[in-house]
Amino acid sequence: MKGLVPCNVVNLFNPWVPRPFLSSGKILVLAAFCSVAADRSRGTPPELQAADTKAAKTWEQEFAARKGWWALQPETDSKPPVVRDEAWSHSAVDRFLRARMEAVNVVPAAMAEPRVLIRRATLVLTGLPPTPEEVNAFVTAWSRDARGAYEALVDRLLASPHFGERFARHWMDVVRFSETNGSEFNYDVPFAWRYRDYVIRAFNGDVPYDHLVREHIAGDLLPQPRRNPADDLNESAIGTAFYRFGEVSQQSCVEFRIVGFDIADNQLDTLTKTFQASTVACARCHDHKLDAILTKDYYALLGVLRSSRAVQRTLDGPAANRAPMERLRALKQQLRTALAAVWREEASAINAESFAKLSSAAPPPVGDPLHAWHALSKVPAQGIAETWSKLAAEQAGASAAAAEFNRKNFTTLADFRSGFNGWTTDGMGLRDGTGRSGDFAVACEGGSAVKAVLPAGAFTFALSDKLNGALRSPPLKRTQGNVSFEVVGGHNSLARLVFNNCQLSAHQKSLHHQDWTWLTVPFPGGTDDLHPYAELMTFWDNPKFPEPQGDGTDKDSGVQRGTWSEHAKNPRTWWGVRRIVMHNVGEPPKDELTRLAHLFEGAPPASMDAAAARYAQIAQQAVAAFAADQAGDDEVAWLEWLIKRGLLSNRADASPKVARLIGEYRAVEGRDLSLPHMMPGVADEGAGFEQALLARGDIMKPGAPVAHGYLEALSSPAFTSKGSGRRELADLIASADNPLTARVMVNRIWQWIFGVGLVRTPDDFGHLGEQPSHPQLLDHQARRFVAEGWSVKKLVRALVLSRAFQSAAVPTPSASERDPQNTLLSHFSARRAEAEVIRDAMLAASGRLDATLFGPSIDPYREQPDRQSRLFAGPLDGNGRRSIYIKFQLLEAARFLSAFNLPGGKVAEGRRDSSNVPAQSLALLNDPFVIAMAEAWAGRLVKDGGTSIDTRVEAMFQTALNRPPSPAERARVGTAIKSFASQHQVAPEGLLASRAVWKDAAHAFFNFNEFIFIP
Amino acid sequence: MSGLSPLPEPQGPGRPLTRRSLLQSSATSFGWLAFSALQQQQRASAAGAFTQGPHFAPRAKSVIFLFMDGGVSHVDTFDPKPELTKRDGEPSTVNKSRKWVKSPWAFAQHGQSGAWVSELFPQIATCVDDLAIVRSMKADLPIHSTGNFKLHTGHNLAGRPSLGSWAAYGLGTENENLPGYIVLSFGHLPAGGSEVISNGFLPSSHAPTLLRAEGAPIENIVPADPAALQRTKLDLLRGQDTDFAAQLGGSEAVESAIRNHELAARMQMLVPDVLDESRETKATRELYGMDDADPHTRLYARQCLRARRLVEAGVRFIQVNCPPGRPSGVWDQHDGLKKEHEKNARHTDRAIAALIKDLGQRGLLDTTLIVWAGEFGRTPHAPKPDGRDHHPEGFSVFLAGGGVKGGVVHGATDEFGINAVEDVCDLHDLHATILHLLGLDHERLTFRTSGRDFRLTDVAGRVIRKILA
Repeated sequence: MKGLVPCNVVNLFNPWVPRPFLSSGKILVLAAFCSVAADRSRGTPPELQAADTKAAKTWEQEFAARKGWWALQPETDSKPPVVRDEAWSHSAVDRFLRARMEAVNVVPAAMAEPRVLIRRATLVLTGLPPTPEEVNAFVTAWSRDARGAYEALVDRLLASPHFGERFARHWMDVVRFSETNGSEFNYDVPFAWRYRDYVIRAFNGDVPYDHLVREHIAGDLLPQPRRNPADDLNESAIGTAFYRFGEVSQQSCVEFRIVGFDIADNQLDTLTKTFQASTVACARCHDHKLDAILTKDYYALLGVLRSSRAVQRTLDGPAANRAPMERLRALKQQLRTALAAVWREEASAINAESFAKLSSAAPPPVGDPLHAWHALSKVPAQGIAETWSKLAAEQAGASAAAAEFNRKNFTTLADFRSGFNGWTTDGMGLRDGTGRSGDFAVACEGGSAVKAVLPAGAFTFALSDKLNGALRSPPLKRTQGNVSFEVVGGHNSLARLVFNNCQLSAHQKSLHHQDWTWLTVPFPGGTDDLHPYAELMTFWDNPKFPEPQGDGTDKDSGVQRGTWSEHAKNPRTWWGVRRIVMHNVGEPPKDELTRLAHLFEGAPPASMDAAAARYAQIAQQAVAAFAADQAGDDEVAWLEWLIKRGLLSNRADASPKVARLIGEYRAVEGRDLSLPHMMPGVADEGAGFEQALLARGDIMKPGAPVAHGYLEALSSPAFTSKGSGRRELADLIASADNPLTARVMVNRIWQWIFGVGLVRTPDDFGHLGEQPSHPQLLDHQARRFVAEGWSVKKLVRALVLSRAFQSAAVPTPSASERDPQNTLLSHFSARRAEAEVIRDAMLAASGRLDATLFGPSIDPYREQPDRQSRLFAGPLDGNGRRSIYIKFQLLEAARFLSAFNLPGGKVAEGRRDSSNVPAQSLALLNDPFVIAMAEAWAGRLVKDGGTSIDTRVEAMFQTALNRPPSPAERARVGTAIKSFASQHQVAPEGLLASRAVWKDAAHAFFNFNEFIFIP
Repeated sequence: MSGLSPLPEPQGPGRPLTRRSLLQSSATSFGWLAFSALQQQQRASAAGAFTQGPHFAPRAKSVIFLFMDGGVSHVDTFDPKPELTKRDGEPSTVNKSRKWVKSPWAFAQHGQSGAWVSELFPQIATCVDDLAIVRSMKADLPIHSTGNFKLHTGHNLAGRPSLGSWAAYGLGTENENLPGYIVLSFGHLPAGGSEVISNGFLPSSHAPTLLRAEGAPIENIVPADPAALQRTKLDLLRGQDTDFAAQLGGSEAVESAIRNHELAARMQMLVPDVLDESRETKATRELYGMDDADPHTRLYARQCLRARRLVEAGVRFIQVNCPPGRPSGVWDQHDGLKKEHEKNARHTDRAIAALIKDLGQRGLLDTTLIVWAGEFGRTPHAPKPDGRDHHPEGFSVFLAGGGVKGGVVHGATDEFGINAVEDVCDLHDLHATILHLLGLDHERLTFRTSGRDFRLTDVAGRVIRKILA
């Protein structure tokens, strides 16, 4: 009885399910037993209770028994069986199928007609109907050499770029592809569409499946990632975007600790269902009720996932922007010299008069060098030296007090004046490392020459604020209640703390500060197990941009209720950081005013002129240091002050040379510097951590930590790597030795071709799933899949070339009688096409189809946008793009498509429902998209030069159904068309030119069931 | 029923659906004759597989199933446990780390029957004399998805038909212009997903139709064409589709699509009319709480009112879901019990009581069975004071109207509310009882697939006779 679902009575009674030989009487006994035993609410019958206690297995025995489950055994090496009907059996696949039919005397259906074959194959392989020309060419070729013509057809379709679109959409159901995170605010998953394009390219390029698996699980960790030859972007890393789909709450993970655990749980569930058809997530609270999956396994894997951060990642390789950045660096060198030349003269010209212009009624703040000048200007000439000495003493005192305050109250988390210090970076703006003091940023627009002279620190905008950058800390240990960032920045850049990988929580401050500022984010306690980290980002790197919640201080835009591109229209976004500290006191570090010490060095000046000379001297020294690229932080502060006070000019045309260099700099920056290419993904940053086993899944009850690892039932070793362990996990899953990986994918592909898998539950190969209808066939194909280099295209080709795929859709009498479910595949099970195919077929028939591949998604149609929920109004026809390019939003599915069973996007859905409800009829009858497509088609029809209703009807049949009408159909449709005409009061002579009439005809064709069927 | 047209004539309980009554009820709708002819064809071809019953005189014509997803706490609503209050905070006998948790709500006796109801449901409490409260309900597994499957389909796993589909299959519809099985939803599905409410292996004409609380109740319900033009198209479609089905050697999918097209066309005409709330009196709106400030209360009131109108229109089985809360189920309070159970009760209490009273006033309660149930109850013990976990071993549901004895409390749990100990009923028993009241013998209501006759109640189910009127 090994391998039998104990309580799946359906299977027991299904004579076509393979099983050890049992008499029907025994099955009845067993079924009766199962129906009692399976229903715990009835209690265990007394006779079984006794047996229960006697035969109670230890857990070890139970687990050993569970490990015997069919899907956990290596694939059997079954040879295709011998069949009587050699002629039928084109391939190994056919032999397995035919043998089973022969065993129960089921006669297979005849071969399908060529018109059916090309329609079926084209819809199955590309999701689009063939054109009438393609059909005619095929029918002609088929009449000469049926097999040759069909093979050529299949090869043509496999080579079509639309093959990738079709199979990508299937795959996206499995990984719960979604372009927004739903919940309340429906945040974007920014650039999720790059993942869609990646999958399309992967299927078109026939990337070996094991490699695709590796890229999904750990594409960011591969030593030699694939790069897209077209744009040199990192292709492998895009696979990891699949972790980021599904529902993500924006709730604070500190307040609602479960949020982050639920996100990781959903990732774990998707990963194990997608690649292993295993319901590991069922072991969150207890060992799996039926399968060989331990709670320990769940937490071993949860540790892997929680150790992986959710990040936006830059795909650009080191070569991207290399030349323009090199050019900008060189220009900056020249600009330094040119600016220094202007400034040198200006600095030496500083005198008392220069300051007269700057005088103000109120005293400037102590930190302003003008404070001293202001004080001097209020005393008589003889008091100048004394006042100066007093000011010097004050400054020294204030400096000392500030230094003492800072020393006492702050713990430095990071000081970027001396490198990144173990923090991780991403983005082109941080490619040059941290900056030495004395660097400067050129103003890339406006009338200024310099955006800022930079002290030592980390800056994304040293070359251009079009370059992106993210900086992330190692896990932080909280010892004090606040984190303060010493920053400059603007245009939607952000500083924040992240807890428990909840990328949408809001422990953040937005940056809109031209001058150095300390921004403080509270650091709540009791959060060590949420593995917090600090992060600084330009908007490119920000997974929650645009920010519909705002944060009350976001001066860039307040709450952001527009699309990503609307808010990113100005691509300039930038930040710089010097230090990050932790503290309990209610204020950030004080300014230590060290730059002023220089002013007060030496004997006090005795006159205003002498004082002015002191300033001039400092200015000259600062400019000289700048010219020599040796300016320290204090000199940088002086330069910034001198520029701000207009003592040094900052005009983009300060000199002809400056003007020329700025012009060239801006030209290169504007023209040659490309914007970053981002994707949502995950990253290993710093050491991973072991997840504590949570008793009954209760996050408040952490038990012993579990080492990173995979399923014990697959004899997986504990992982040894320091990071998340995703690399090791990828190797264990993307392996020919893993008994599930190949079987699961072969079954999925089988389902995509035939409509139903050999295992009807593609996401669950466990006890709650179904068992394979043809286990040897499944194993045979799985082994072959691996042997052929995990080639999806080769497998698809074999299945589509099978005789079984080419059968007519009508069952023979023996099949209807003995195999009504068509488990034996004696005929092709015609099926309703998926939502996307229906919509795409309408676009194709109407001539509105834009067959362009790839690119950002189109917002689905909506009458009015709902900006609060980030649901925007797209065009009714989606610009004619295929349905795979319509944005897949969690909060609301695309209107027309949703009537035809779209997946939910929250959990893996390897098999779509194909319900049949009045809502579908209502959509076909009344949806504005359908009506618009009928209008478009009618527009083309009335221009076709057709001379009779019959010829036009003939053409419509060819376009929509790929076949000519029967005489009865011609008459029936013709009659209806005449009726449309009379209802529109169109006279017979005006009929052929009436768009209204042909719109109705087109609309009727879209409503034919045959139009939405894969025959 | 004034103002509602074209609604069917009221049919007496147990009156079989005859061709004559159908003609009467649908005579004003378009294409009736064509549809009727089609229907005859289908009946002939499907050899009686279309509907089955009734097997005997029904007590109820319609069912309104008020589904409380997530699991309502029985010891906080209909099953008071003084012992629990006494031992509050002490380690439970089940597990030492779990402590007894007393109900944060006071109980009182209500009505002539003196049935106990907690202060969570002040309005429902005024209806106790119409209710049969079953305190000894038993489900199976403490998991939402399997619990929802079991409650709806009688089976722990996805794939079986739901109660509403069985009812529609068993009795057909009283109104051919509307689906027989309607789920009044808030746009989200319960744990377990669409298969919880699906028609499983039953013909897809018995699949549920979802009616949203907000916006257009059904997408695309407004016809794009004038009626006559649409009729021309529908006739053309029927011809083409019938040929296509024949080409495939008969196809259930195509045949049900043909039926759906006809049904959709008729729904277009009728749904807006059936749902038109503007004809309700101010008193009725008030009764349900249609103008409550809280949108969830308001929308739940609307769905309950619609349930009544759909009963009037002859819909066989109407499920009313709860407004959304936690994804696992709105009543799933592992924590925040006090706050969230109160919130859920506030959203639903008034409208449910209004529904019972309104049906009563209109003389419809006798022929309408109301079932109030979640997939399980909640534990009387918990690791933390303000929450309870899943509890299938004993919990409460109630039934009302449609041949149910009012003012009855049936069965009991033990002193702590853990195990059902007296007159224990399981979900099969509940299903058998519902079918019984509809005039269906749960042992005879079968559908053959995969070589076996399937029942909603599998090999179990006993009608709970003590609660029958």
